[in-house]
Formats: sequence, structure tokens, C-alpha cells
Amino acid sequence: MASPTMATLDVTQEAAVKPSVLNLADESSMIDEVNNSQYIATPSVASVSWDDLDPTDTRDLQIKVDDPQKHVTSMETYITFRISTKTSRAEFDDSEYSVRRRYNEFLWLRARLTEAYPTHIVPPLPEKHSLLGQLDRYQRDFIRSRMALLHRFMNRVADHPVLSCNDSFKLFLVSKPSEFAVHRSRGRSVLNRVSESLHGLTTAGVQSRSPEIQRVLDYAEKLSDKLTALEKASSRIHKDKTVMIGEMQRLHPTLTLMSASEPELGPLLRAAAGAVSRCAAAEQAVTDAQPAQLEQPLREYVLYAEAIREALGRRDAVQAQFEATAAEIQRKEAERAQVNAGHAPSGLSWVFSRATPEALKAEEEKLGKQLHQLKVDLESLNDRLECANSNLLADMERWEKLKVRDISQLLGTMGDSQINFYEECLASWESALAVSEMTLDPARDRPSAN
Amino acid sequence: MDDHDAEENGISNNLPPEANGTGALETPQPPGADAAEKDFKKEPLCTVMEISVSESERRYNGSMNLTEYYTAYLIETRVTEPTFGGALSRQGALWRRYSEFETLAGYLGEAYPYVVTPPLPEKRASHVWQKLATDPFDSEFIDRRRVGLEDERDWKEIVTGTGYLEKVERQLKSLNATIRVKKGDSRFDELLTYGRELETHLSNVLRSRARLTDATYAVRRQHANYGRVLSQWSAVETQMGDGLQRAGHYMDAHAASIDTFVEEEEVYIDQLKEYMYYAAALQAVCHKYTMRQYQLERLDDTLSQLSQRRENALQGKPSLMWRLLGSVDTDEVREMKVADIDQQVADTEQQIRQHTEQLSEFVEKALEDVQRFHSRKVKDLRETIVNYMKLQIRICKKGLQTWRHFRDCVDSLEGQPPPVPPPQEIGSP
Repeated sequence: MASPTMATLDVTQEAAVKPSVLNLADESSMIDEVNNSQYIATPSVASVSWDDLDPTDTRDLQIKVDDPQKHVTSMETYITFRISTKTSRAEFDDSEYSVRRRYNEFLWLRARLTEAYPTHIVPPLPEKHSLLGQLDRYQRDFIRSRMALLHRFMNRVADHPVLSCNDSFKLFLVSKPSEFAVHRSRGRSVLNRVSESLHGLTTAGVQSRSPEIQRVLDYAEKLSDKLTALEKASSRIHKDKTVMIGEMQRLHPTLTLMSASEPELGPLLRAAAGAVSRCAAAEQAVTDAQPAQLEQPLREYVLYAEAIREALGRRDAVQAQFEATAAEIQRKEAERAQVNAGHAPSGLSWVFSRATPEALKAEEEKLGKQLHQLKVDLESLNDRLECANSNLLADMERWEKLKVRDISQLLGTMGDSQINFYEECLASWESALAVSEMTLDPARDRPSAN
Repeated sequence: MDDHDAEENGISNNLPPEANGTGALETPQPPGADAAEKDFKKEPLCTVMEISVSESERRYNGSMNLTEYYTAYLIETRVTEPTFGGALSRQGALWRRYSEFETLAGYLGEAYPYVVTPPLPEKRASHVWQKLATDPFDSEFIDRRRVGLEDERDWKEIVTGTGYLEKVERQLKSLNATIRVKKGDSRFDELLTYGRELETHLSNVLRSRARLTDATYAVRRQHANYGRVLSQWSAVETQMGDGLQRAGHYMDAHAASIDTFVEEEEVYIDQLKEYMYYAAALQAVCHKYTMRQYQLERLDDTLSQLSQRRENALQGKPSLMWRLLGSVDTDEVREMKVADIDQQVADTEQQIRQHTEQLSEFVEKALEDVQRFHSRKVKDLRETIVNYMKLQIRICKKGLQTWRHFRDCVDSLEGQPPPVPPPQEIGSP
């Protein structure tokens, strides 16, 4: 049984032999991917022209998902999104494309990708139904959140050196509706065939995983836990902040009303009311930005943890097949040994036949052929397993860097947004306090006779 | 002035030395104070001496029931003006409990009806942001009450035990009755309206603020969840572990810091609350005016009735007796009746003169005190609002500091010294 024995992942050698493995020797492409993670976030407006985009985006494949539209047919109602592509890659005929796709079509695309690259980490899609239930409040929020995650998905795939070369992906980006429908129906039968071969042989799990692989699995689980907890915490804060903003907005008029009946205190009370109002507005801005800045990225990474586990599962399937084949070889070897020793092999077909030397000879030959085939299979499975392991670990390493980048952007934005908020509040209270100094009447404010 | 009012209300000013309370050192002023003190009689007591409520202590009530206890407050006095002689000694100290303060307040409200009496701090907390039942013996609460009880300002104060006032209860009841007067001083109408407005406004502000602080507190405390999750997460990460842990600690700090701020805010809120009760006291003065005016008008009515009866008696108009029995008043009887009525008229007119005089004195003094109240109110409320604003500023600064630290921790996550400029979002908000 092969297991990756290398302590550090030396894939450069393998790259020469197995072209399907990610070429890590190319440092510059790695850096590009990391830097490009900043374009993952969806445009915050419903439709943005290419001119508004960041001119420093130097990627050779840029994708934008926006402009949700509702379609009503006699059979169903559904939403499509506009997928805009800008590319300089040779395999594309044009440099710009614009198509409309619906959620089910994204699902199809992802199925194609996982089928073609079973042991790569394929980026996640938003879920079919909203989990926490809070998004069902407004259809609009749900659509917005889904669209943001679809945008992230497309860009993740575009940035992936292996996944972005996939034919289905290209078709998804360029095909007109009629062509696309044709490709989709063709794709379905392919799926059926491949899935049979993958899952056909064995349902057994793996015996043990290498430490690196096991680490990945454990990490994915823990990360999912922590990020989900963070999601919950931020959603509770969001709710509580909404209540707080309401109370701030109610305090404002009570102060203003009072200022009407207090001539001397009027300016000061109005200044206080003004400050409260400004703070409420600032707080509202923070809360409004929270979905895009915090909740969507968190959700993506929770789903990513799930995608990692899926990839691990597929890798496990390959290992299981390998182990099953190896076990089969052992059994056949044992049988052959028995036959060589002149004994009839155990087995129902031999119960009623006689173990003549000719029969045994024939049996030995048969076993020999089977063993030969099994060993050939084993070697190819071994290759596939090694490939799977290195793909996965390489992808993980790549993903790790993206993750650190994205998480620090996420938390950094959270920090920045809070800093801006407090700066705004501080300014408003300081200017309110300045009013108090202006309206101070020295004659009136003698020291008390205490 | 004290003597005059005291006599009117049937209180003897010659009180025995302090009988209740412990360690009383003052003796009451002997009647006929000497001339030197007269100068100081016009001034508020606080200009010549310091009065402070310095300590509080738990006392047990009786020996039978140990669970009954109350809090006593130590009142310390010290004469600061060297030429102030008189019976009040240089330094004094005595213990009083809250209910005694209440009776004093009631007495003062009775003896000086035209004054807007400062309110006592509450027995139980209201408009508090936390919906917890406050233990009246909670030491913080006691401290706040203590501060409120110190405000015995602008009073000519008799710091002695006063065995007094059942009259208070009677007065209190009548204050709340709706009394219509035919021609009252419109200034008191305006004052009453203002008093109600002030009370309403302050009550609204207090209520709104309490809910806001409730909500703010909840939001802040939630950040402890961030702290906890970030800390747990840091244990799972290799590269990001350190930064996440430190960031988590700042979230914990952010959550914890709200406590002291809220406590400080409560102190300022108490000052607002005091003025809400002051507004009620203002309305009380208006009611007292109305009552006196009403009494005067009733006397006027009585007088006109008497005039009418005198007319009738003079003319020997048929009285009830005549209707029943058919008798007619003799001249003698008629004269007697008229004389009797004349006497009543004279009495009534005398009463009217007295009342009118008292009423105008009341009006003069009341309006004067209201002025004093207004300027004190402007000063106090301005101070309260300014303090509240300064507190908000401090809260913002602390928040800024915390989140800047948080930001620094996040910058260190990638382990790259110069932080990369913040990435631009496509069509950034």
C-alpha cells in the first residue's frame, strides 16, 4: 500500500511525469493567485459595467456575476444571473462574453468539475435552501447572498490553474442558451458512466490515512465548527444592533421635544440629539455592510470546509479501491498457493468436481491471468492514489494561503468598519460638546452656594 | 420668618433638645435671638456651614425581629463662617434614617409652601436600565442616595428633630384634588403647564435612555462571544493562531469595558431623575397656590352670600319659619339677625384680608423661588448633559483604542511586516 512518505511535498519531480498535477515550481503564478483573492467579493450593486472595475486586476480571466432577473414561465418561476467574462486566454475565441445562467446550471457545472477532478478541492456553491432561516425574511437578501457566493465560486474556479481549463467551465461561460442545453444533456450520460466506475467496486472505507491527510480532515471539521460559531455570534450581534439603533432613533425626538420648552438648554439638547442621530446613522451603515463584509465570506468558508471534506471523501474512495484490490490479490495468491500444493481451492464450483491434475492446472492458469490483471490494476490504482494525495495536499497548501489572506481581509474589514464607526461617533459627540462651550453664560453659571 | 410661619402652622419653636437619634449635639435656638445672628438668618444655611452626608450604616430595628433593618446616614455639619454664632455648635454629627428625611421633606413642604422643594432620592430605583430588582441596601445604591440627600441647599434649616406633622398627610391629599378657580394668577397656570411638560419630557428621556443602554449593553456583551470563538479557533490554526488569540482577547476586553461606563452613566441619570421629581414639586407649588386662591374665592362667595342675607334680613323677608309657621320677624328679631350677619360679615372680611395678604406673600415668594429653581435647573441640567457627552466621548475613545489593537492583530495574521494596502472591492460601497 502506497502512502505519501515525503515529509515535505516535493511535487516538482512528479510534475514532470504526471502533467495533471499542479505545477508548484512556478512561484509567480502562486503569488498571482494569492493576490487575486481580493477580487473574490461580489460587486455591491446589482449591475456594474466593466469600466467601474479595478484597473489593477491583471488576471487573464475575470468573471462577474450580477443582475438577478426573475423569469416567469407557465411551468415555473426562476431567477437567472448575468455572467460576464473578460479574458485574454487563447482558448477563448472572443475577449468578452455575457450569458445568463440559473442556479441549477451552476450545480451542473460543479458536478462536472468534481467528476473531472475528483481529488481536487472544488470551490463550494451556496446551498439550495437557506440554513439559518433568517434569510427567508426577504427574498431579496437571499438572492443577494446567493449571488455573492456564486460570484465567489466563479472567481475561485477562474483562479484555479487546473479547474479553469475545464471544457465544461468554458462552455458555461460562453454558450448561448440553446447550445448550452445540448451540452447539458450530453453531460448527464457521461456522469452516469463515470460514477459507476468510481463507486462500483467497493463500499468499504479506508483502513488508515496518512498523517497529513488525517490532519487535513481534522482541520476541516474544526474550522467548520469555529466559523459556524462565528457566523452565529455575528448574526446575534446584528439582531441586537438593530434593536439598539431603534432605541437611538427614539431618543433623538425626546431630546428635541424637550429642547422646545427649555430656552436656555435648547441648543445643548439639540446638539445632543444631533449627536445621537449621527451615531445611529453610523451604526446603521455598519450593520448594512455586515452581510457583504462578514456573513458572506464566512458562509463561503464554512462551505469550503465542506468541499474539502468532499474531496477527501473522493480521495478516500480511491484508497479504498486500492486496498480492496490489494486484498483481492492476497486472496488470489492464497488460492494459487493452494492449487500449486495440489489441493482443490475452496469454492462452491469445486464441490462437485474432481480435483484432477488437469483441472488444477487449468485453475492455476486462470488464477495466474487474474492475478496478472489485478496487479496491473493495482499499479494503476497506486498511481491514481499517489496522484490523488498529491493533488489534494497541493490544493490544500494553495487553499491555506488563500484562506489566510481572506480571513485577514474579513477580520480587517470588520476592524476598519468599527474604527470608522467610532471615529464618526467621537466626532459627533465632540462637536456637540463644543456647542456647550459656545452657549456657556458666565453670569448664570456662578459657583453654587454650597 | 421661621417663627412666624411656624406659629401659623401650630408648631412650637421651642423644642426640647434632641430626643431621638444618637449623639445629637445641637440645641435649638432660644427664642429672641441676638442681633448678630439676624444677619445670617436671611442667608441660606449652606453659606455659613458645611453639611454633608458622609456615611451610611446598617441598623437593626428592635431586638425581636432581626430581619428588620434599615440604613442610617451620618449627617456631619461644620460651621465655616467664623462670625456665625448662635446655638448651633461648631461641629455636629447625627444619624438619620431615610424615613426621617421623608418627614423633614414633608415638614418643609408644609412650612414653606411656596418653595419648590428639592426631592429626596428614591427609596427604590426606577428608570434603571437593568431590569433587576434593586436591593435598597445595595451599597452602591446607598452611595447614590447619599449624594442626593446632601442637597440641602438654599434652606433655612432647623437641624433638630422636629416632632411634627400629621398635617402633612392631609395636605398631600388635598394637593391632588382638581380645584377650579375663577380668576387665578395666569403665571401659575403657565407654571403648572411647564412643570407638567418638564416632568413628561424628562420621563420620556429617562425611559428612552434606559432602553438604549439596555440594548447597548447587550450588544457589547455579545462581543465576548467573538472573543471566545476567536480564542478557540486560534488553537486550531498554525500560522494565524497567535494573531487570532490576541484579537480574541481584545474582543473580551471590549465586552467587559461596558460595565464601568454604564455605572457612570447611572450617576448622571440620577441627576435627571431628580429634576423629574423637582418638576412634580413645582406642580405641587402651583396646586398650593390654586388651593389658597380657591379658599379666598370661597370666602368672597361667602361674603356675597352674607350681603344677600343681610338684605333679606333688613327687609324682613320671609324666612323659612314664616313659610312654615306664618310668623313674621319682629323689629327686634330683625335687628338681631342683621347684627349677627354684620358680625359674620366683619369676620369674613377680616379673614379675606388675612388670606389676601398671605396669598400675595405666597405669590411673591413662590415666584422668587421659581426663579431660583430655574437658574439652578439650567446649571444642573447643563452639567448633567455635558457630563453625559463627555462620557460618550470617553466610550468612543476606548472603543477606538480596542479596535485599533484588534486591527493590528489582524495585520499580523499573514506574518508580513508592512501590511498590504486594504484591497478594493469591485464597486466598493
